[in-house]
Amino acid sequence: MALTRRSFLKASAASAAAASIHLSLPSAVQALDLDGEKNSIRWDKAPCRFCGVGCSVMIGTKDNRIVATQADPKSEVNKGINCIKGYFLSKIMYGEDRLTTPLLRMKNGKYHKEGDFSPVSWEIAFDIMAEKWKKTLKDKGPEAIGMFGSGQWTIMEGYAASKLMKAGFRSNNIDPNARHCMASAVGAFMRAFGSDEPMGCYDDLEHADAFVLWGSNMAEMHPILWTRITDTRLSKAGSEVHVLSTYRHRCFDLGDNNMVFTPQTDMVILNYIANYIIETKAYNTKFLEGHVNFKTTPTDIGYGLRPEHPLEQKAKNSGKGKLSVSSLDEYAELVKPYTLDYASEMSSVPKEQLLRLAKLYADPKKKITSLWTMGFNQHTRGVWTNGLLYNIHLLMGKISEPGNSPFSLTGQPSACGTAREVGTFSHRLPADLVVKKKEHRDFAEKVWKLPTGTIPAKPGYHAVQHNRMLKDSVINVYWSMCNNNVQAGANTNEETLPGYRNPDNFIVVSDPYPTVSAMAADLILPTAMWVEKEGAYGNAERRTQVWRQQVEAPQGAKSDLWQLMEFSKRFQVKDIWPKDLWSQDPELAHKSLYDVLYRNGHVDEFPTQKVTDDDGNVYANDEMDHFGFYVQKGLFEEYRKFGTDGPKKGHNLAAYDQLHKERGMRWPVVNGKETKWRYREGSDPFVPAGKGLFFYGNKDGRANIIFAPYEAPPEVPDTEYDMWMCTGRVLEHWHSGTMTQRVPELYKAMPDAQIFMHPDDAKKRGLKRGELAKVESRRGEITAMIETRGRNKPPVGLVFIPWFDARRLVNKLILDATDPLSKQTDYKKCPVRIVKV
Amino acid sequence: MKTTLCLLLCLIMVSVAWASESTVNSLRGAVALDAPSVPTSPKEWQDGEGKIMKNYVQQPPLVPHDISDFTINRDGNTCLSCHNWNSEMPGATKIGISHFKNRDGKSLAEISPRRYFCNQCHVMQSNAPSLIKNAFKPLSQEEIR
Repeated sequence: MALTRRSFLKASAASAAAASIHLSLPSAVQALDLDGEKNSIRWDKAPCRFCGVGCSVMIGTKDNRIVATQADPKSEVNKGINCIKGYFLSKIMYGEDRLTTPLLRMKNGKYHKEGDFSPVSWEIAFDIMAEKWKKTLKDKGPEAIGMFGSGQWTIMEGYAASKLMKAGFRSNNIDPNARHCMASAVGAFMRAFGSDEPMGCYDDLEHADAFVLWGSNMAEMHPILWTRITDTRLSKAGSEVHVLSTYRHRCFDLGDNNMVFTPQTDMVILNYIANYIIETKAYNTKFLEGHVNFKTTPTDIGYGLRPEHPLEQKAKNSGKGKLSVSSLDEYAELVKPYTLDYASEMSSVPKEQLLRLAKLYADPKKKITSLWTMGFNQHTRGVWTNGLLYNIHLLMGKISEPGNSPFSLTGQPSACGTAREVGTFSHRLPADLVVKKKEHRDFAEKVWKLPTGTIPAKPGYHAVQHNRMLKDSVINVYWSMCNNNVQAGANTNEETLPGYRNPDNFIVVSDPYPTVSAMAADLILPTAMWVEKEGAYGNAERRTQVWRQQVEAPQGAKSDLWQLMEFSKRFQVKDIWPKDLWSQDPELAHKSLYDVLYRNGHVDEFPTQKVTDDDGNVYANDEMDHFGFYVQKGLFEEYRKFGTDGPKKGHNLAAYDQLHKERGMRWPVVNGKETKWRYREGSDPFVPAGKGLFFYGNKDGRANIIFAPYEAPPEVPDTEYDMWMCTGRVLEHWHSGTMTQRVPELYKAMPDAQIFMHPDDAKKRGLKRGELAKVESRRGEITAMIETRGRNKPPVGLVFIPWFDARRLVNKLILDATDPLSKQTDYKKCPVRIVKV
Repeated sequence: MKTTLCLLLCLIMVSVAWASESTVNSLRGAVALDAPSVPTSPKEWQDGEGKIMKNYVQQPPLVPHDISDFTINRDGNTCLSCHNWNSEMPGATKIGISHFKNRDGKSLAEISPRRYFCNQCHVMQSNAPSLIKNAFKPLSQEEIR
């Protein structure tokens, strides 16, 4: 009997396999005659280009080309494993449509908004850009220019961009795509702890007894952290995994308590758990007395829509978030209505499952790590909801110690390192400083050696506002780098595209590949990516990782850093700053922004040098060669002063040279030593001796428990649009798929964004699996194929559609409603209807 | 058959017309950003008995057969019945030695729990033609000899 896979499976299932195995010998034996030199590959570390986990990979290079990549066995993060995307990093730079020349929309040899993309030199590209920027600055001032940045920028690129915008052009209209993913997390960290980023670290994944996933599909989105949780769950007796989501997904395969809840009712469940802890008196009195303040927040705060939107008009406290003082008794009263009955009724989760979850949190002996990402953050009450979870951990004192960890995961490789720590948001400066505080601006101006008053005090427009302001012709020149916001931004038809294609505006997109954003631009700049340049990323556990340039970029493509610095050479201080500013230091008047920002004695402090590894291999550094100093080191070391000397303590980064040697280090780093658990004596050097635990981000060293009620989302399914739609990522593709869809193996593994749907919902609409269907919202429509048996299994009444697929552009359907405090869009709850094509 | 051929020809002609309009295209081809979604159709999973060649030795093997209905959860793992080190299934690639080490590099008797969910690293391949060609080149035998 010939044994095939199918028959074997059948046989083994019946426990009746008794086949004899015939091994065949290879027909020809090949002699192993290898040239030692030719057979060797140069291996060097770099952080993965994709998600916020921050795995380290080994890059195999030969003759200026990447020939292989593998997981880094020395990395604490991933210890020799990558996910499927990480294993194919070797191919992401080699898509055949790499851009190698600037492309300008032209008609009859001149720029024209409706012209076709035509190749131009970098010289001409910067000429037209500078012309547009100068005219805009002259006609309307700095508030009419904008820049959209990225949690995928290297730390130095984000820092150079922030300097150029905030100190050079003197505009705070710079915001990163991290606004779409992490702004709510930041808001909640600042409100509860007065300092951004997690107190815990990935070591918690081995220390915890239980894991609770709040609207996070880690099995697909943070696969390597999922391997660590799986490891703990399957090898540690008594450990358990609780999963909460609005649909079934791969994490349910490991879950002990799987809960599918009605969208937005996570807020009800969280308040129910707090109520349970209080009613059973399980809370940690000593901890509350020593480390916690109680606060409340204004309610009925609107949805971050345009002010004329009826929902904003209706809201009593649109956009308000000032906290008021409260007490444990008052808090107990406020959470009282959140009973088990109410929570179960609202969420549709059976009572016994909710009770099991509440008991877990209330058990003082169980060490719990709670994890979340976009389920909490992309939420019109995202800041509140992040906070409701901190409330639970703080009530029990389960925080800042091994295994007890409320852990906010990130989606981008340097959402933490670049967007948050460097502060490339419209209201921020490095190391948790903000533009509206004079003391903070003064410090930044001192570090940057600039006159007092250089940095504007008014926060700029945030990401969602960028598109609205482009549409309204308020912002007229706009530079987007290292992201794909035409695909990523919400309400494509009504806000994004009208803004980009507005004849009053000049839009520049820098990218290695022709993204949909590039296609919506007026000028495309070909960009060097990932290890074609030296850089640094910061991951979700505060780990800063530096890499060397491994290969040269394709001829014509230039790094974001090169682009920013070269462009800055085209502006003279006296032409764009007011006289009363530059006259404080008349020497500045005739300098260029390049001289003022990047040749200030700090950034150009380190001369050119050979970049080598421990084996003596020599690496290129194209920016160092071009500018004549060690640009990346100079930028990083100047930036580092914000952590070591700045007004907010506990943000110390390791020295650049040390980071070249390490597999990353977790800040604060003091005397060459990293910190695993912030605020905890013995681990965090900033905790005063004898305090034990000290939340030093707040002046009194106490964290805030902030009550917030359940409030409904802006739109809910009705008779016209009768289903919930949730968007998100998939394992095989990262974000908008610009890189992963150009890797054939990844593309073939997930070629289409499908409509994951319950079979009953499909049947009701006369739709079959594999059939194309139309998805419509109040703002647009797309078509995609129905999948009723896929990896995601939604309940009746909800569909999941991934957003990677440029051929569908699911964000055409999404309302640009945001959390009014964080300004982050909710991409998880959009009423749609689904009909036959 | 004739209709199919005609349809195919029409499609090719349409795509040629699209392609000539612009020098550069996104993954939508020449379909405008405000136009309806690009049509697509169901794909088939590769489901043979052969293996898919790796690009380089460090790459995890791709799955050359359909595993859509396989179980990988706390109750069981269908993949292991053929691919575990002691499976008698001929021709099935056996799990590598790396999978029998824990996080700290200690060798284990059975598969490491952290490697349990095979589908995080090993994926199926559909018959979808590549959207964009990829110019990655591993080291060839000629280059190393």
